[in-house]
Amino acid sequence: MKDTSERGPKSARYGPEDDATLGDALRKATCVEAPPLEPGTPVRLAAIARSQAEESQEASRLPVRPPAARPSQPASFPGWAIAVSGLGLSAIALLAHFVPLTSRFPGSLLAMGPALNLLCSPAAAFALVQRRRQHAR
Amino acid sequence: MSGEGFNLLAATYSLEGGRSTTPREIPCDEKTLARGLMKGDPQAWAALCDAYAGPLYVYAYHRTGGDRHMAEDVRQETLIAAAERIGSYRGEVPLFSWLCGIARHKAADQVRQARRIGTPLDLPDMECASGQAHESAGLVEALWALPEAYREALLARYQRGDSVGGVAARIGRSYKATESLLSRAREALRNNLAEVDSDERHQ
Repeated sequence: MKDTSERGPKSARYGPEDDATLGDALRKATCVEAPPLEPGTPVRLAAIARSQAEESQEASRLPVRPPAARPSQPASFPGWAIAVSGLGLSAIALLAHFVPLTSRFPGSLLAMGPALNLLCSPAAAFALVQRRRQHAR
Repeated sequence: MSGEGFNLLAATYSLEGGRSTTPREIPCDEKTLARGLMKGDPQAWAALCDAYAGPLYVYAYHRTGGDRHMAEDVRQETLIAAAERIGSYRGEVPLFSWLCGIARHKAADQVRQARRIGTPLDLPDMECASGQAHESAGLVEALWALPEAYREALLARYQRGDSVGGVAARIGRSYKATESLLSRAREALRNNLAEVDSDERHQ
């Protein structure tokens, strides 16, 4: 066998002028005698293929399950808390607008603003509770 | 070949209709055969085994560096895997090339396993043998992916060393037509080898 290992890709060889090389390569490649398959091999292979085909048919016949219900989303920040909080702020603003500056209690009313807002806002209250708990630990 | 409905190679690549100007052309009869294989038709599987069990062994033999036991295991495993996966065969490459694709992986597994165990002292030196062995394997793959008319002509002319006149007499064609057939066969072989090279590089 001629050494063809350094002559570029295989496909570049075996040109018309290279009949001897092609002959050598073909003889070398096909010189092996294959032993026969075990008897019954085709039947066994057919059985395997048939069972695979049946399995895939079964799978395609199965009703398509609807996608599993998505777990309910975690409760988002309650909108009503924001609304109540906003209402509280509006109320404070109105009070601050209508109470005359000469009134005896404008300062106390205005001071009530943050307190009222905190009361109206469950979210803020919740945060406060949490913080208190943390501090308590 | 058993199963008249699947007289694959002889019918598809009859000398009168010798063709395959492009590589990897999938003949209609091979598609018919593939449909039979997918259904689990024993005749189709017998036809496949008749046509390709021999060359598949030769391919595996070269791929395993010339180990007959490993080659036989690789062939058996390849055929079983082919039966399991035939549903995924899309007919984009000739059946034999598809089988070789499976066998390539099976052979690599076998060689790797043998190396890991490290018992057989006569395990071929794959590093040295791989170049020529893989070349031979590639040639087997390219040759058996050819139309039968081309393959037979090439084997008669170059392997057995028949003269062009001898090949012409054997296939019942004129001298000129045989020369032309041989020329097209060599071209098709070159194309197939290029495809095999490219497949190997991409793996």
